[in-house]
Amino acid sequence: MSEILVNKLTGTSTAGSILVTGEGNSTTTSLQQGLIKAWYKLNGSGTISVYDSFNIASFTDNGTGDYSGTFTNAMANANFSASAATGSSDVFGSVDGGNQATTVLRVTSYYYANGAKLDRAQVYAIAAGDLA
Amino acid sequence: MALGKIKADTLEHSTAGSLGTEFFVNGSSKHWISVTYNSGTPTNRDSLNVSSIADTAAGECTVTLSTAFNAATDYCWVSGTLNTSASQEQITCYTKAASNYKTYNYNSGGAGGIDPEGFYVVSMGDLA
Repeated sequence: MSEILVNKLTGTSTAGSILVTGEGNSTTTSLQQGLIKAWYKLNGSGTISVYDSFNIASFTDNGTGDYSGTFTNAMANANFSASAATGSSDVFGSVDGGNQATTVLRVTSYYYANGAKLDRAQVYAIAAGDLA
Repeated sequence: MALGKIKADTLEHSTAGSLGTEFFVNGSSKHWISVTYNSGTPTNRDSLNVSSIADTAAGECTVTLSTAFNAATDYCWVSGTLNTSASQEQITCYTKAASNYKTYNYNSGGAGGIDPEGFYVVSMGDLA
């Protein structure tokens, strides 16, 4: 088994572009663009707390069922893709597009039947896109 | 200068641990997209591995991939909706093929076929 010890991978032609050969051994995909750039799982009930996260410097409780995670390393633009979910069967997670920014991933948890925001003990979010 | 190529099974960071390169290949998302709607027309704001998007019908959007997955049924598809108002929406994967998929949007009242403000999709799986 081969092993490379390295702290940083950088493309030779373009620093921010490294191709990875796909599972079918023919096509390639961008390593940098394909990596998830941030994720978190937080407890949104009462005083919010984080179970675990990546690339998140801090969290903000914006109100009932409304949470923000501030990135340690910002995204290149506010158009990044994101997804959110909760651990409840009747409460969905949603990305707050009106407050989407390069530095924050803001999500809401809401009751499926009427859209009312509700706090939940398990709130999940991920962000995919380009880092600044 | 020819492009460099490294073949390895493991990458190890000095402090953050090591990771098998299969996680780079299998664990990277192969597709993501951020879409907004304006007067019923979807716009691709930013994306990875997208050839085109099409407004198929009200509340439906077909996304065609540049590089297909190896099978229609195997790849993971997760989504999010872009909501700026009190009306919360939920997007689902209506149909799915190796090289494209169609989304279908519901509003918070459970009514389907409603154009969303926008949506996000991230997909993981094996490329063809």
